[in-house]
Amino acid sequence: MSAPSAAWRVFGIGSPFGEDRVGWATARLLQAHFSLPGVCVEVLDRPGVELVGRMHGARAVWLLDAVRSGAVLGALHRLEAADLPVTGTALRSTHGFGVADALALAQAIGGMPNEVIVWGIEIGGIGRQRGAGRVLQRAIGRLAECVAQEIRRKSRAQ
Amino acid sequence: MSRKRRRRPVRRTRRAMREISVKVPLLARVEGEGALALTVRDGVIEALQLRIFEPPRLFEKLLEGRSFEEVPDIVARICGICPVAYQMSACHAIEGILGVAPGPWVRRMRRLFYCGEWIESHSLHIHLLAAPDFLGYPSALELAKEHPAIVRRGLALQGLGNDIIRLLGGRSVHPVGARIGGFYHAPDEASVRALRARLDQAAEDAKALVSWTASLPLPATEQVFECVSLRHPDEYPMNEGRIVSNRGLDIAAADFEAEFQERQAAYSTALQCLHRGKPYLVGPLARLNLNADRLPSSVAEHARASGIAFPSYNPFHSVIARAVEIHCAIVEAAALLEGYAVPEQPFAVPSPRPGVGFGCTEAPRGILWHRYELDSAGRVVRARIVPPTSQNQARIEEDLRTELAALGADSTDEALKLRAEAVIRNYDPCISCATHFLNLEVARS
Repeated sequence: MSAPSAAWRVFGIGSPFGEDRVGWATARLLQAHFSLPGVCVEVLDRPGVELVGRMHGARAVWLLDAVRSGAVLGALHRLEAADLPVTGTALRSTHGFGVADALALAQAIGGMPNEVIVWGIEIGGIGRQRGAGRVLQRAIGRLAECVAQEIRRKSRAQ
Repeated sequence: MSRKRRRRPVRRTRRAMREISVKVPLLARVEGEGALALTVRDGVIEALQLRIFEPPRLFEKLLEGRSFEEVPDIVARICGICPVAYQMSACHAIEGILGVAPGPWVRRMRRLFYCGEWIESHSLHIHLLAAPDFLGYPSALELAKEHPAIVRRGLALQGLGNDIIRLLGGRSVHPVGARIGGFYHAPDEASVRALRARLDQAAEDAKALVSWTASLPLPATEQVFECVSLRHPDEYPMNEGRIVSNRGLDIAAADFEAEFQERQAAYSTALQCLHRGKPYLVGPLARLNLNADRLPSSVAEHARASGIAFPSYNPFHSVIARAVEIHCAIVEAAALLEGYAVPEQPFAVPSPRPGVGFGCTEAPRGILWHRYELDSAGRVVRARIVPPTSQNQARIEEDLRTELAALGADSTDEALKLRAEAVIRNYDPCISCATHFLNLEVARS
């Protein structure tokens, strides 16, 4: 999968299982029900280091992912790349390579888009295999609306 | 995060010998959870233990009672970095029982699938895990800041490997495309053409990578060890071949248990595998030492031009061997895709029957041996899996003894720790199926 050519890209990140699929589900909803001309919307299965390559050449990237922060289930989080905590564990193991690690690596090799926005949905736990429940389904719908509105606003401002 | 604590010596002798105890409670830049404990007395290493404390995962028990058809998807879950190897060893073992002959198209695509995994796994290890050790950086991030073009090239190669796996497996992590008898789906010709178009540039990148790894300031050392790998009559080994060594071993996969024995070390949750009671090496350096004459000619020529002669008994030349194997896998992939055509059916149809089968293929980290017993309904009665990291564990301990003794017991704690980490990481151990930094506790008298 070579990098997409679109300047604006939305990536639903996670796995197809349990509550970890909320990022995927939001991206799928955007693909199916929202008109976002010229914007590449994809799902990425636990991309790890590959996220660096997928962002290469983009001007703006929206990353949709599951989050656990202690907030209420279904809460939406919006972070910019600079807001992501540097954990000190980046690049210790390719098994535990996360979004913050990928962004730090992209920054280091000069492959960071001008703008990276991370949207998250608070989940209960990635081990829960019952899929997105009603609360999370509503959150997925809300997040899709938020991302679409943000992209449209940005588009109009250009 | 590094943690240092000074303690009183564990015990004193009448002669008041000097005792050093180095404990590394968590190994880093390795895949999984492990640690190192080292005790040096009067300049002699008295105890050295590579401790793997990741909880047992019990995959072999999990497979019992499952249909043979489920096995490739279950074993793919053992590792996110080398799932193809687990799938291929399982497929070969089970097809041996069922008498399935998948045919030339499947054989070629399985080799291509394996090429993808070598490219992906080796690229990750060289750039994100090993190279910082040799260039004196504390992490890959620091390396990337100083050498962005090198890391960009490495990530592009890794991405290519993932794309090859994805072409046949549907996804690169825990792929789902392999089945007993072949693949669920054959790639269309347009996807193959698009992938093929990237391979010429990738081969140039791989050549540059071989030259770069050969120019790294690697520690100069020479050790004595047995190399074990597969050997095929015509090809650089991936999916097929006999198990051979530089000490005259030459056996079929079915005879593995007669030569190799696993033992439990009380300090580790991973079994250690020995060849007739002795440590041995598997992986890229062992493979290249035993199979340099099976490299494609352009790859062999460039490897020779890099100035490193194989066979080599400097374990640190493993990083160069990995680069050579990336080059090999790219050249092989291009050849395998020549004249590609979509087959009528990308698999042979298996029927259950009872029996015992063996599979041994070359995972990125070395030979991966599987044994399955099936009942008449094709359900797994018993499974046994011997991964490369358990085979390399005793060799890593042996290498640590040699390298740390050569470094000298008077070296600083930090120097001992750094060298120990570099030695361990050089094997690309996959503890989840193996390591990149160590926390350290030191006691000196």
